[in-house]
Amino acid sequence: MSSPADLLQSRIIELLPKLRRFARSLTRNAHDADDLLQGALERALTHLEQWQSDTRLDSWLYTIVKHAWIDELRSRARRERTFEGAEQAEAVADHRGDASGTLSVDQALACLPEDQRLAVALVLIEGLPYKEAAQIIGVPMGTLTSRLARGRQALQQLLGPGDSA
Amino acid sequence: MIIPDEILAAYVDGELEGTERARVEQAIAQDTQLAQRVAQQRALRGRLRDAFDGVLQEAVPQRLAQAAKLGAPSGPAQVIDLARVRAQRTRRGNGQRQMKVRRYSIAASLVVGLVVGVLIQRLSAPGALTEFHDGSLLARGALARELNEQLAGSAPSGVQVRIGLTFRARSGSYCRTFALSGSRSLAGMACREQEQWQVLNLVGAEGPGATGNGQNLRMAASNLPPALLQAVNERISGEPLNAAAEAKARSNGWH
Repeated sequence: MSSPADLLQSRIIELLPKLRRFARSLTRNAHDADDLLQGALERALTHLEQWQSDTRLDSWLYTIVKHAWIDELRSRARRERTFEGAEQAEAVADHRGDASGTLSVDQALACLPEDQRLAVALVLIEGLPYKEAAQIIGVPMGTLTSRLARGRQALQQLLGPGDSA
Repeated sequence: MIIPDEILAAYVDGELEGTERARVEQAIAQDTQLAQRVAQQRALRGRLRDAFDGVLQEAVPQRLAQAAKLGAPSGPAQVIDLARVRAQRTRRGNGQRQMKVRRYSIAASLVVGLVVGVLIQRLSAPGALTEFHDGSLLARGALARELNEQLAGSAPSGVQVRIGLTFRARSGSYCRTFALSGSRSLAGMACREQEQWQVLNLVGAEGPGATGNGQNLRMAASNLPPALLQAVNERISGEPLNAAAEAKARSNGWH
């Protein structure tokens, strides 16, 4: 049977590896990433009617993962404010302190502000066109490119010269 | 030639085309420093991808594949085709005197494969969500209200009825799927006929003994059960309405 619904389902399943990669680059933790994606998929399927068939399915799903991540960050921020805000701030400061090109990609990404990390994840890791990435983040193209530029610059600094690749 | 960073980045990201692209390529060919900057940018992209591409090779965990399935309930769901039940009923005669008998026979057919207690209760309790009228099962109470008013995804938590897809049937009338939450889950489809919401399908999952409470809840709150999806596919004309079209249909009174 290949009804529209079946077709849609198989396309979502095909996209799962990429969605996992995106979630991993945001959370930088395999387990958190899969939790995030699972929540996002449940959200997506509840609101399937909001997907417009003339827009890219992957962009729509990336957007939902992004929303889920922002929600997660907010609730983490609430928890951290109550319990361990100071520790977290120090950990980030430490990373910035030894920014001498010896960090792993993971650690370097962790140092970026969230908005830059999103831009980097969508364009440099997921390989999306600027237009799609800007739509997913919900900002104009100019904002996307400047976040991307700042993110790139910071990563170059944190990771050192790129000749290890 | 001076190439600003953002143009160089756009080049590396594959965003430049035509003459602009050719211009940058020409500049790179003539300027080793520029070529080095491009190489650095490419290397950064490469390092980032190398760090995360491993994910693509991993097996997708079962729970994600499961979550991606449209309306995959963990217990078997059965669809009740009310039109078929009604046809059976019509063959049995249609006098007013037989109304009461008919009512019970329809109810009895309906609950085959369903959680008997819930449906009987829902169909017949005071303030019930449905009512038999002239052989049709019509939405009443909270179900009728939510079918009229609720836009998908806007239901506050704790609401008993959640609207799923809204679409136009081939007959031209609007149809909406819904899920009822309660001690056990039921989902269904209702279509607008003669200023009423006529319930055409109801799908029930097996009781909590077979599937567990959490999974039942999830089915009620999110996915369309496959049997219901199939019923939608058989009826739908075109695509489901998007949020704007749904709101417009509501403001036009579902005409």
